[in-house]
Amino acid sequence: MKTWSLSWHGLRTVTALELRQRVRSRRWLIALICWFVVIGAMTTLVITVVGGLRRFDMPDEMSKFGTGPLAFGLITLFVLGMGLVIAPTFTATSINGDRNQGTLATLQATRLSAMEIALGKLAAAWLTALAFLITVIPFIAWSMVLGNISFWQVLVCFLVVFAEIAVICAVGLGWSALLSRPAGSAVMTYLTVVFLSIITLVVEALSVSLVINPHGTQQVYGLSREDMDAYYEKLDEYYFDIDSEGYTVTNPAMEPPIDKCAWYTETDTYTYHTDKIWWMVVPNPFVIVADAAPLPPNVSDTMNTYVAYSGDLLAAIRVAVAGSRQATPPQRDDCIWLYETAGYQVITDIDTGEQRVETATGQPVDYVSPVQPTRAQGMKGGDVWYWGLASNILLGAFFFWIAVRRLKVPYRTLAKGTRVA
Amino acid sequence: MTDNNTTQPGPQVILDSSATPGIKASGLRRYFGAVRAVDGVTFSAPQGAVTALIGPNGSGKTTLLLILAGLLEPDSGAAEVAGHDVVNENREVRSAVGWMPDVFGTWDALTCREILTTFGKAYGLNQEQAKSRAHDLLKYLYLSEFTNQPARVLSRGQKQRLGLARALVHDPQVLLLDEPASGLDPRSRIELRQILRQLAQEGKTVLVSSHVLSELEEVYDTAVFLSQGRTVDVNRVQTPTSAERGWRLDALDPVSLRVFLEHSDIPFTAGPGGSEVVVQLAGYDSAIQLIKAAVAASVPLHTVAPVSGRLEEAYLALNEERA
Ligand SMILES: Nc1ncnc2c1ncn2[C@@H]1O[C@H](COP(=O)(O)OP(=O)(O)OP(=O)(O)O)[C@@H](O)[C@H]1O
Ligand SMILES: [Mg+2]
Repeated sequence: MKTWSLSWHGLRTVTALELRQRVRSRRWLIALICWFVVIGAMTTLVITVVGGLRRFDMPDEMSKFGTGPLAFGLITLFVLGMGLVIAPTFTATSINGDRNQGTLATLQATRLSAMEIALGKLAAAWLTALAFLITVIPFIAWSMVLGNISFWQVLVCFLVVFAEIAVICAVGLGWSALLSRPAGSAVMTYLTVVFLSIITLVVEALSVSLVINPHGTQQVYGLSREDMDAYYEKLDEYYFDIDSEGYTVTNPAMEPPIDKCAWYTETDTYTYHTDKIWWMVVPNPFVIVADAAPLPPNVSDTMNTYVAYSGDLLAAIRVAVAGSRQATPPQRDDCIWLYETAGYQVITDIDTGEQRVETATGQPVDYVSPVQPTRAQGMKGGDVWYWGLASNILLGAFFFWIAVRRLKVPYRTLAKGTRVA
Repeated sequence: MTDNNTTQPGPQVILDSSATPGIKASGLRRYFGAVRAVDGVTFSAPQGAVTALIGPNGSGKTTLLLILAGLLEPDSGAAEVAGHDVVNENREVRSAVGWMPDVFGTWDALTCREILTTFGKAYGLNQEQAKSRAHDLLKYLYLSEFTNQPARVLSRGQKQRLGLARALVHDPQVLLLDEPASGLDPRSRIELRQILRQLAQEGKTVLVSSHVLSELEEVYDTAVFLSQGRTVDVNRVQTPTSAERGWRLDALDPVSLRVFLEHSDIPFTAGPGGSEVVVQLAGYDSAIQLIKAAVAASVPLHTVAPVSGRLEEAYLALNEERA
């Protein structure tokens, strides 16, 4: 079909035309400067605040991760948010605006195919988006200096943020081809952004109430009521064991009474079946970027600790999504958490979901949980970002297809109330 | 298809009747909902000639030109432009056609030269070709001084000329001009006329729609009349039985002319030219009879002419038919 034919020459002609108009108009320069200033101010704020936090008396665990992850996560999510706000302005009035100005038909009357016009407009928008993203590189570099951010992490986040903005550009182009009024297509593009990034979250949060079962049952491996009370009495004494530097010490004599642990059935307990609704957030751009961001190399086996101590927002979102994929499991091991109360640490392997116990100094403790780890507890194989990204790209491709279809000449049907020229 | 829908060739050019048509339309129809914008258009426009497209407001001229430019699909009927079918060989049609819309939208930020080079490239020219073509056209249309001015500062007439330059940028075989004269001053109109004549001489097919009939009068070779979306058989509306209209009479001796008219019981009014008179005659036959009688009465008659031009008359006849 001629409609879809694409030549480099034609594509370049349209892209150059679009870019030239954009570069000449002051609006874009002002927007770019505002963007730079806002992101710069935000980065400075984040880094100052995070730096201030650092000066507090922080446990070693936190300082180990540095302030880089918190700063980088905040900046990445902020850049994505701002990007989603400005991306619609790149294309959302592109086609109907040109039609109203009377410039579209003259372009369509040339040898150019509908594909060349649509893709040229999209390419110009992408190059603009790229310019916006490139201006924030200094701030990203700044957060890298704060530590623990790999170049790989930056690159992946940058690419995924760019892909998300590119998708919104395509959506805007589609709406501007579909609706005759620029105001209408701008609103619809913003609504699409709001739908993806906010409505998905709200709907999932509201849907949780639908998947709670207040009368669920669970097999629990743990202590009986009396044994528990006795243990807590002992614990009170235990906590007075404090070393000269003020830290609680693990008292080897204070082993939790795991030999008293046994299976019992808990009825009328709340069970959550979020595994039925977790996918609602998969197309959320923030979830996609967070889930795609590679983790620092040294945190893979201590995910919860890492999230708690580093304040890495991207990792926090990833853990939250991974957690919501799992329904309340049929079996629960309360026994292993007795170690945690006694000053040991319980470590969940992020890849397998297996749990093990270590002393505060990192010595392994011989405890084998009778509960089989459920797959979703682990992170490995739990990545959802490519599903989300793929669904968004599909959405963008659909809107782009609409745009090309709507630019095809000769017109068979015209949108109501529009003239060709 | 018949040639009844076109008037006889204008006086300046003798047409070769075997010339291959640059535009050939038969039974074109295009409705917008209930509005029958184009409702059965059949005509052909020969190569190497200027064809006027004439019709009242809303008669479907713009719509017809859009179909011929390959932008709008006809509901039924077929049209060939430069030998290509407007629907099935759309891209070939668009490559061969220079279309000038009635309203020329401009890209605010682009200079005149950039607009022309962009369109040159959109028609497949390379950078150098497009540049030199833009340069030539700006000179040709007296826009050289605006080469590096943004198009939005141009006056309406200048914009119109830029629009014409844009339509000419790829040296098209067929030109479709929608009211090109609107907004032009008398001098630019004469220049436009010369350009159209020159293009026709180069063998191009030129189809011009216009309201300014006196404009086309001087330049057209054939004319196509549209009324309510249909091509009209002008020979039919122009038959002598059509309604009376004014004829201008003048004689070397105005007094004898007036006396003759009074004697013959022909009512007359004073014409615009002082010694001229205007009489109402029903068609050519009455005019011939009047001339014979006047000559027999030795009135030194030297001018007998319809008050309005050929096109204007046909146009008015068209409106009457509509009413
Ligand atoms: N896109 C459209 N949607 C609905 N009606 C339309 C559309 N385009 C044209 N029309 C109608 O079709 C008819 C012919 O319109 P067109 O623009 O072809 O007239 P025209 O001969 O060019 O008139 P003018 O001399 O005023 O330019 C008009 O009645 C017009 O209202
Ligand atoms: Mg018109």
